[in-house]
Amino acid sequence: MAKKLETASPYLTILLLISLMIGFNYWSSTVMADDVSTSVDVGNSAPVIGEVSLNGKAAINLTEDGTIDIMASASITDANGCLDVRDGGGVKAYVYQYSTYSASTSHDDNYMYDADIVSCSWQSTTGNTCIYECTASSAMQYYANPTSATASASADQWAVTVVASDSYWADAASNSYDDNDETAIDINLLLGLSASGASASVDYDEGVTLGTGTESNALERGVRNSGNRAMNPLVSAGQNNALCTDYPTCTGEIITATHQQYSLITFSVGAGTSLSATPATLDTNTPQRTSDATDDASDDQIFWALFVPTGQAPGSYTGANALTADAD
Amino acid sequence: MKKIGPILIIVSLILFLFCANIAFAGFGITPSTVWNDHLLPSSHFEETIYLVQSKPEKDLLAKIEIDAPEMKDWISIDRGFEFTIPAGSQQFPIKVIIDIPQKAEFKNYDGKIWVKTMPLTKEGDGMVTVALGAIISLNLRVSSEEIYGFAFRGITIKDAEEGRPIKVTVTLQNVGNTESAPSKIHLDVYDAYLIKVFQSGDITEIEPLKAFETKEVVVKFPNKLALGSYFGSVQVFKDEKSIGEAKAVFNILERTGFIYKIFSKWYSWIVLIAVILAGIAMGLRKTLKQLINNWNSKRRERKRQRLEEKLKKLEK
Repeated sequence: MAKKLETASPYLTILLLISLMIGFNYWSSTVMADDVSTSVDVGNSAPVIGEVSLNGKAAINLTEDGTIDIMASASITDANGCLDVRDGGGVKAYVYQYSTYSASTSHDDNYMYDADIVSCSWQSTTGNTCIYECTASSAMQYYANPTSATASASADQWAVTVVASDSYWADAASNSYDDNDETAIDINLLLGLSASGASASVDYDEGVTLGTGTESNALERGVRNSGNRAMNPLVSAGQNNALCTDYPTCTGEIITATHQQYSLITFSVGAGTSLSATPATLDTNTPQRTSDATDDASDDQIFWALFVPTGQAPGSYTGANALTADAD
Repeated sequence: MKKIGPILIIVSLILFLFCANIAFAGFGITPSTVWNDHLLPSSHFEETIYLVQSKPEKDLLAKIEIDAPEMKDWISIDRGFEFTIPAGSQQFPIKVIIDIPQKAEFKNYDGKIWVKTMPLTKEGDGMVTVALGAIISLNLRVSSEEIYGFAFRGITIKDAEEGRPIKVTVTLQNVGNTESAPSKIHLDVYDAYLIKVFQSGDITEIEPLKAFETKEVVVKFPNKLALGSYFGSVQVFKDEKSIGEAKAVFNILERTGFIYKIFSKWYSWIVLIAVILAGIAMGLRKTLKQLINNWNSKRRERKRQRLEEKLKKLEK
């Protein structure tokens, strides 16, 4: 036994030393503190804004005749902790077309979404740095000014300014403006149209005049510029170039598209332009709208009429007309 | 009565024609132009166009028609020339893909891409649907001019363990028409208040991006930082000019590996040296013991031989 112990003793020594080494490590990482009473005056430190970003540094794509969410983010550091900012003046954000910004600029759907629209909330914390996300749900309008490469304001860009204030009203502001044109955040051009609209409820039950053939009075339909650029609608006959009783195959009875006429002013059948399979511009030159309200400039009316030739077989005729938005 | 029958039918047609198509439908495209003024022969270029509707209540059949005789064969759509836009999709992306042939003439090319839609569900007999559409403008220029440029689309910096490299992911878009990489990516590590710089560094060996490609490039910087929270400020350079800057917060965390934990304290190394020395000492002891034993046995052998010789002499 003694001999065995003697043989193993070097290995036991090494094992003991390694155990001591590991043991010291764990022991040394635990600090036992005595009871100490301290008194410290903590001064206020103003918040510091780090990165400010609009729409994740990607171009903004609007939705025709609708709204999209606004998204921005900022990292804010305060030596007194994130609560000092949250419970102090908080964080405000302004999203705007850069060239239009001034301290007195108020909300305008075309170029300025201010702090009453965009709200910021504290999302996460890293040390004393707080990450804020600033959003406005369904806020940015479809006619917000475009700044992309082929827009008239292509030299401009969209930016967000974030202002953080702590409980002592010490504040900081920073914006996402980028003087590199390739990296600046733009709102892309949106080309869109919306059919019908305010003038959709015309009472077609009245005023139908039936002649040798049969014709309708000109009936008014609305066409709306639902994008953020000037637009010209094109009109053409849709599938099969006709109305038919067995749409869409159209092997039965048909009324050819040329029996429909249109005009930008009210008219009697014969005075309008016959509908054709070839798209024709209405030359409305409908400008970019500046509000969602219906207006004379950005909302057009198309008058339609139908002439049914003599001898047309009775039946229920179905078809499609096409309205296509083209850039003005 | 014979006359009234057809008249009634036609009246009903008119009523259907104009009352039934009261659809508050809209359609749009954004961006509305595929524009590139620095394409080279053989360039590959993609542009994402969103087909947008504020009220996507029905499935729509979309048909794409290229109206650009000179370019027709260069253009394809990732979804094909006929596809369905599902109901509920306010922003439906399609990719317009342009492949310039090797022998394309150097000049401007203009054209149109027609996007035509039609509801997949039939409105009903006697109705005229208004099929909406929009035109994507094509404005391209093919030249021999090589352009080199990047757009900086943001960064992420992962938390790193003490002593381990700081991994920075930079999203870059090559806006140039040749495969290239930025000249350098520079990192300044600040304290959380963006006052004191703790560490700076450059990475110049950067994976190149194909022409017009957007890609996440990962670069690693050495890490000499103590535990804590930092701001990393990353700048991307094209030649000597900064093309953009972004900041991100990251943490330096305690190393978690078992071996690292053991050897992270100075006295661990002393203990290790002691162990090695002890090992060496024990090894030496064993060797010495063996040498002594050998020497002793040889000495005994020689003694035995001498005694044997003496005995032999005495016997004689």
